[in-house]
Amino acid sequence: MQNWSDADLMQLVRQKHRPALEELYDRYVKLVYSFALKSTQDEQHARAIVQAVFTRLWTSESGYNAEKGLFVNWLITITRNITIDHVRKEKRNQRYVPVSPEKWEHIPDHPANNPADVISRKLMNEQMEKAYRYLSQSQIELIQSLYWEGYSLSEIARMRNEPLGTIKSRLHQTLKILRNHLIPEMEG
Amino acid sequence: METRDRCSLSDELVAYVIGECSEKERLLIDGHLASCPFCRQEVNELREAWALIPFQLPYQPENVEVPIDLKTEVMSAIFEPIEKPDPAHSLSWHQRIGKRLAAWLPAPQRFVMAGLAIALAGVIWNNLQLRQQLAAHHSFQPAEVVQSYTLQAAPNAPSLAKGTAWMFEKGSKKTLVLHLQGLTSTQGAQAYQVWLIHDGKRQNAGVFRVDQKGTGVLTYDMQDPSLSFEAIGITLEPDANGTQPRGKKVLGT
Repeated sequence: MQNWSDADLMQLVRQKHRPALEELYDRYVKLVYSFALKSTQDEQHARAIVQAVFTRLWTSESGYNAEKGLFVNWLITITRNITIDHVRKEKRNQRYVPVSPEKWEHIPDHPANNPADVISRKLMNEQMEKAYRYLSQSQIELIQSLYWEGYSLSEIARMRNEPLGTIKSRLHQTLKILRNHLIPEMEG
Repeated sequence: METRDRCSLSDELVAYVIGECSEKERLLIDGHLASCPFCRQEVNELREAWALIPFQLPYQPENVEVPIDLKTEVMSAIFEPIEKPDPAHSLSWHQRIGKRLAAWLPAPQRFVMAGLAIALAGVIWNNLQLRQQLAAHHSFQPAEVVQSYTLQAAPNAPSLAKGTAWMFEKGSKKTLVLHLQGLTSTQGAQAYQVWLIHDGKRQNAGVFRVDQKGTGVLTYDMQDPSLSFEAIGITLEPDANGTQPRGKKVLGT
């Protein structure tokens, strides 16, 4: 089974072949778990997400299509979708204070008004990867909120009290920098 | 050739790439991309960068230990979704039902639920009994002819045409059966149509075609068994879809 390609294994999974699913688990659980842990910062949430991702692989009717790209990219997309759903649900459940996000900006010391603190605390102990040294702090925070925590561009604009256009422009620059520095490194 | 300066969409492309633009914006950008190779390339590069994020991040998979028991947990949730063996299996069926109800509901509702369940069971049983009785009733009920009619050719129709109709009753159902002979064969969509005439009004009672010998048979279940009529007429119609006679009368009582 170890010599099989990811696409072959997914084909077997669609035919309800249990060892194929277990092989995919062994190959990718680390990636899925790391992703979930990075997004949620919580082991129990990460476990629940891993559970949901592999259950989706097992039950999904619209499977992976090898013509559309690498399996690992497809798996990451699924993982991100499930993670963001999970994170958003958690956010809803934790909203004890009957204050809508639109009103946060009127409360001067609400933690949401200063996401930089929250995020930099989370990022403080993490070792920065090479490409990230080319990014500014606000660019890193943007990726953190947008990609990993699942906030939308307009939510981020609201939280930071900046125009939406500024956020879009920042994301554009950030992605350009990442690509320009990552591609040569990955190829080299 | 298009140049970067001529495209004002630059920052909108990024929202498009991460799927955060409105449907209207998406269509607009789709349209623009079809004609602007520069923006097309830009979109591809942004997509590439977006897809790379998870692979170049502080939390490298190597630094994370996946809990060892997670695999067992995941696999058993997928492959053994049915509840684990339950001590309730050793209980009798009514104890089990009692236990489940107790888990669901406080005591007063339990009585209401039990009452409803018994009532429902009673209704179902009663219904089954009635069905059986009705079935028996039907199959043993003799059919009885309550009236017969003789049909004769209309003045300008083929003189050989004739027919008989019988109204018979079986239980509460009334059925009209017609047997007709000597009719000319129908052409194309043509069909013979039967009308029940009451107070000068005609009511459709079905259509039929004839065989090569000019013989036709029709049975018509009376939707309204109490409906009365004085006469029966048969017309030759251009098709089988009419609600009023359009063709000439060929037979009648």
